[in-house]
Amino acid sequence: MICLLTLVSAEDVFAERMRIVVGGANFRAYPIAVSDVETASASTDSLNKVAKDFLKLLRRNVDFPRSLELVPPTSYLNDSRDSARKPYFKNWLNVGASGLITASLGGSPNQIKLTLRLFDVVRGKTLLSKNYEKPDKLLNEAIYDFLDAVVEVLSGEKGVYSSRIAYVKRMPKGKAVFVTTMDGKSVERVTAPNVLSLLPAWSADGKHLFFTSYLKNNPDLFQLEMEGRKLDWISNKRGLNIGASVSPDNSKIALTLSIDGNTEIYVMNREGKKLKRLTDSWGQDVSPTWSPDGSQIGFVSSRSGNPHIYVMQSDGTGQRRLTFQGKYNQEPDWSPRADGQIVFTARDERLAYDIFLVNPKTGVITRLTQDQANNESPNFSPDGQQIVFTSTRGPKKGKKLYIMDVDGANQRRIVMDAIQVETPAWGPRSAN
Amino acid sequence: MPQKNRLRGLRRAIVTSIALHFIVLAGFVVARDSQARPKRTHKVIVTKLVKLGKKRPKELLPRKTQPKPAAPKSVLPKVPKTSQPEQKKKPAPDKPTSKRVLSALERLKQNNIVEDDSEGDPDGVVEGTETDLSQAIVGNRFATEIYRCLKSKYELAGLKPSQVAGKSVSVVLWIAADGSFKDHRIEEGSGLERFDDAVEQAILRCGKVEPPPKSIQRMVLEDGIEVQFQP
Repeated sequence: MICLLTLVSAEDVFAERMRIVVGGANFRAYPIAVSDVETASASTDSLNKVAKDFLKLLRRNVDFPRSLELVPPTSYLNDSRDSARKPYFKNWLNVGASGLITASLGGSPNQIKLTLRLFDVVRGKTLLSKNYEKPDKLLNEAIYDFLDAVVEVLSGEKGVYSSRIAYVKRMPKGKAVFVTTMDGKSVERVTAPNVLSLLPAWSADGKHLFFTSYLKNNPDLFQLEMEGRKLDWISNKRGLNIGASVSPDNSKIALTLSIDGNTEIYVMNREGKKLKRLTDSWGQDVSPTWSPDGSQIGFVSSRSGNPHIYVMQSDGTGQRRLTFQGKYNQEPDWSPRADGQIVFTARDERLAYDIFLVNPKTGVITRLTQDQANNESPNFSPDGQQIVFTSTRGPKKGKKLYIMDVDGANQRRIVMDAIQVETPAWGPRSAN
Repeated sequence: MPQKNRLRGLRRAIVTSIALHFIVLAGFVVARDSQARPKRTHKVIVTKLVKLGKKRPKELLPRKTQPKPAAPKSVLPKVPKTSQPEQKKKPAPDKPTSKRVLSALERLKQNNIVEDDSEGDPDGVVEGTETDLSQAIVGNRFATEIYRCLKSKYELAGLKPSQVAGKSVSVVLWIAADGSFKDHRIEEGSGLERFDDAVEQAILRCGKVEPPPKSIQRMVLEDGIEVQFQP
């Protein structure tokens, strides 16, 4: 009887379903190939040159974001069955591509007609197709727009190709603010070279750039309209007018003023009016940064003796210290993502400046850079997935521009001409 | 006569006993089948080893784990010698330490370069690291085999951690007696096509594991194994 019951019970074991949890996926880039540009058979030499330059820039840009990886062009197979409209997918699969971008180019250099397509090589289907008509000098805009769309198709979130990065560069007679695209294709100086201009910050819509300048001999806050290059004097209070940070709804500016001698955080409207003081401590309170929903402001305060990261409500209430590790924490920037962390620069016990993240809820600190010279002035990309910063690593002296993923991976230099740079500010995506 | 009666009584008792056994057994089976069988699950516990060493002082900023140093040269296999007899090298005459070396040593002293101390937990294990390799699975060897195979093929290409955070894909996997994946079905998708595709790819690329132990062959073939893929 017992034996029989045991047998029946054993049946019950077979009814169990084993359960396994598999985590820790390998997040790798999407391998994408970019075929040679297809031009009309009767195309001129000048058009062929445009096509060649275009292809070089397109391939360079494909390799930029973490989510894409260019399959080396040297491995591509030539096949007469391949065309921009109908690729021969088997060949692309064989070289390890999951996706393929093709381009066909026609027209004249003054008005290029361009078609860009994205294919899923594995499934053999078209994922995206876009037409552009632009002069050859603006073809880079077509690349940014298309690759933003490619990233969106693949990941569900638009890329950041169309965003720009502002930074300060040391000049022979001062410091000037420059604005560049991520690939360094178009670098433009936007302030006078012989004046000290510092700490650029973008408006939430990317149409204006704020910076502190000694244009009128006092460190005042200016606003530059990017399209018309119109300069407005926003704040010229006695003492410092520095560290502007525009609220996510684009209506307010948080900044540091030293009206009464000590630096404190204030908030004003976009016209520089309705000034409200938020902090009042004996220490230095500087570098405000807005939380993504605009309800809180992170800042640096030395009220505890050393500079540390603090957080308060946007009306100045509920001020609390966030970092308790390290002795010199500064330059905070709050991620634009809803659950985002605050990135900041800190000096460690070896006196090296490095970049860290702090969780605004728990205060847990994560290190992003280490043992690679000094790394400072971190600033989030508009999607909160990457961080631009300055680093003194490498044989060339001075600070250079670098980007890394938000987990500290994939650190690489951008805009090779940018040497002796400071305080980069990554602007929002283009409104187009 | 009494002997006959005794035999008859014994026979009756045996028949009654068998009948009773049968009734109880049948009742048990009917009762078992009539109830909805609760699905019990084997939970695989994933543990993490902790590196042995001193705890880092709380007031200091965290440091990233250093990669393992390369194996010492002495561990490298010896290259077989050629037939030529080796000529003994004369010991090089002692050179006076160059000024450059001395000044470099002096600079190192001045810079007060701090060596990396072993940091971790006093209760940790010597071999413990903080990498994925340190994840040990306590539980069924077969489950571990499946876990390892799927994990090695589990790639989220073109997706970022923040895009899949909080999402998961649940799959039921049926495995044949030879260890090959007979069939699979996505029970609960993530809502992200590329995430679901990546899970399918991991299963297809894994394809086969070592044959399941006999005791669970029927279970993995008929009931399948539930696999939840998390980012």
